[in-house]
Amino acid sequence: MDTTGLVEADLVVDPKGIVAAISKEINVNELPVDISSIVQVEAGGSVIMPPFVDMHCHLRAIVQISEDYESGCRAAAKGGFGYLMSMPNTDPATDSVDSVLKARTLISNSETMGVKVEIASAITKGRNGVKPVDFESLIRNQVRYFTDDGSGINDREVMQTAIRTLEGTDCILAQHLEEKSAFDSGIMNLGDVSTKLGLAGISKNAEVLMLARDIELLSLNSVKYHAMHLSVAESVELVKKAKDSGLKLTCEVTPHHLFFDETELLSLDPNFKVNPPLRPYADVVALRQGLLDKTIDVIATDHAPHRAATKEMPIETAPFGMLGLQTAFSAAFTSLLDNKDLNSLNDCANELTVVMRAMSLNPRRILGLDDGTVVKGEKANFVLINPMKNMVQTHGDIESRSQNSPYLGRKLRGSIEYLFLEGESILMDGKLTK
Amino acid sequence: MVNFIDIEKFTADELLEVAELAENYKNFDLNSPIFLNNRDKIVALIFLENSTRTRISFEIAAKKLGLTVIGFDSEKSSLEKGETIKDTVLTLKALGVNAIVLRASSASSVNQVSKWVDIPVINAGNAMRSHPTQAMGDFVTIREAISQGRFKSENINSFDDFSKLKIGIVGDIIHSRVARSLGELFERFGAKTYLIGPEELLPKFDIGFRVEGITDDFKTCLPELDIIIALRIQLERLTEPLLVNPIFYRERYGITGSLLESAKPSTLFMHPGPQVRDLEIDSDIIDSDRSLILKQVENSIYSRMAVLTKTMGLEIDGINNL
Repeated sequence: MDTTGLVEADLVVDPKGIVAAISKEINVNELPVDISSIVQVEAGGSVIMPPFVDMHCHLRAIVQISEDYESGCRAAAKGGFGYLMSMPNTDPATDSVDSVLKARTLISNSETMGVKVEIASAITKGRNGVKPVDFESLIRNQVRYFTDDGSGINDREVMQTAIRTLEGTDCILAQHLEEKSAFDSGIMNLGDVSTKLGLAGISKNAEVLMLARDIELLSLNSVKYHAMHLSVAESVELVKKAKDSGLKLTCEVTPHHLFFDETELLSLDPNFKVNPPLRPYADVVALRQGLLDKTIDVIATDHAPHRAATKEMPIETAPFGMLGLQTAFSAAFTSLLDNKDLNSLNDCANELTVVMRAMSLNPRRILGLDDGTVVKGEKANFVLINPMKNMVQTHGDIESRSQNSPYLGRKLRGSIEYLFLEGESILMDGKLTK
Repeated sequence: MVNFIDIEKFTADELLEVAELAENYKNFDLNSPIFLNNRDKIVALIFLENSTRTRISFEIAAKKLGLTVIGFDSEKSSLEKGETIKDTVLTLKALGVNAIVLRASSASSVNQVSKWVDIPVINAGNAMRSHPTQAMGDFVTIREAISQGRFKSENINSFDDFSKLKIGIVGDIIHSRVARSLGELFERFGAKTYLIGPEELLPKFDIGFRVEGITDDFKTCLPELDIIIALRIQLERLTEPLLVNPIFYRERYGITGSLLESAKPSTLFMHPGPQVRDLEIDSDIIDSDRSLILKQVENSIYSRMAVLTKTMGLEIDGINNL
């Protein structure tokens, strides 16, 4: 293994889905399988990684028609994901053992393409930031991820209570950073573009103030704190300082905050309305840098499906959010390449390693999952990517029940070609197997 | 010219063509029968936000062109019953409407509508973003004043001297779509734009067009200006109560007789309306020959005629040869 973490090898998966060989040079005649049954894939120049893990997606489900577990998992599989953390801002909120069990039943009755879906719980009842949920019973029922995502915990005491309650557990307390007073009734980033368009702006302080407060609270009590969807340079700086001072916290960035900046809003297309909002290019650069220097641990999608009729409303009233599961790898990879020419795999080895770390290795570590290493003799469990292949997403490609992708018609680099989950072939040649 | 949504989307030449056509219309006998050919063309005026002058101006403009006009406002429409704007415009298109004039309280609706239908869409004001036909009417008014020799003392004798103009926009800049469209237009033709008003009503970031100066000190800036455009304080758009009180506002930013004393004798006054008399601008100034306000109203009709003609591709014999 070189410093990038990439290893060059051929790989054989037998018809039962077992990794039969990994080697620099495989002699097919020496394989312990019937070679006539082997489908050979010309995957030269491709890379395999442990399936991606998304710590942050909205699968809606229950009664919502914008997405369900099946459509969400199909989108995830096409994006190379094997594991999803489903956010609790459902309607009604997922904030009790009952609601978690109900969601799990729904999942087990759904065709999830082998993608594992875990349910996160709200931190407060109804996600209204006031009364904490019954952590104890939720933990007893194997809930390990708590967030009021969609809203931040504005009340300092409520946050402190949550931190103290979860201190010493292996649970993750994930914060949607949004200080209400600074958020105002904003629609997009507060700045030049919002001023030009005459749209209400969201100050970066909405994020930074709450992150600073949380870091202060973390210095008093220790918990597995995770800062969600960072969007501004100051946040990256705050996390860096906190980590340098020895605090244990993790954080994530979305592919869209790496890929787009606020000028996309000049189109006034509600598909670019997202919370936190797309920020100026300087912030985009800081987020990419934060990912490269390991300040940012995770790339998480914040996949937020909204049906067309709501995204066709005026931008002021249309809901926040965009699709992200199918395009996550390519969007993140493209943004890190930053227009660099690729002649061989070596030219993008560093970017691939960074994405693998942020989309697979780190979320696995944070969530306490296996590390996903591909081992001979074990069930095949990996995603195969062709970094040299470009893709342009069309409406027809979208597996979600919603169409609110901001990437439609954009050239993205790198393509998810194959996905094996627990020995089962889920994606072949970019197409779902069922 | 397919749609007419934002001034900044057009080149100086394109904008000049619209202005010149408007000026031709102004000098033309509008009772001429050549406009009768347009009767089978239908313009829908969709006004989803209150408007009197713009709506009437568009209606007169369309009628002068011989177009068939259907009016439409949200209170009396299916939009009130939960229909989306998309369904409304698709329905209008299916009913045979040939162009849509849209006023909306949303910044995005006019852009969205222009993607959903393949007929011309004309922006009659979208939230705080743009009011391009108002800007065109004001442009024609300023061109007219130049050609009448109103700025001769400043050595501004023809449109070629437009870039010498110093224009102050005074008042509620931040909430003003008119300020944004005018600023974009003045930038196209090189005039210098000054933004003047109490700090809370001035932009705190780049507003998107070239600004020569931005100040809360009107008195100091005033002697330089050739044109002063006063704006209404848009109380309905304020999210927090105004800090500045009306007496203070009038004293510092109102166009009053005493203020006039420090202006150049050639300085002219404009207001896109509706104006609040004796707060933003004194009655005797509104009614004086230093005010271009009624000319703005009149020219808005010809400008809208020109915009309708250009976007709808109306062919009217003779008019372009005038």
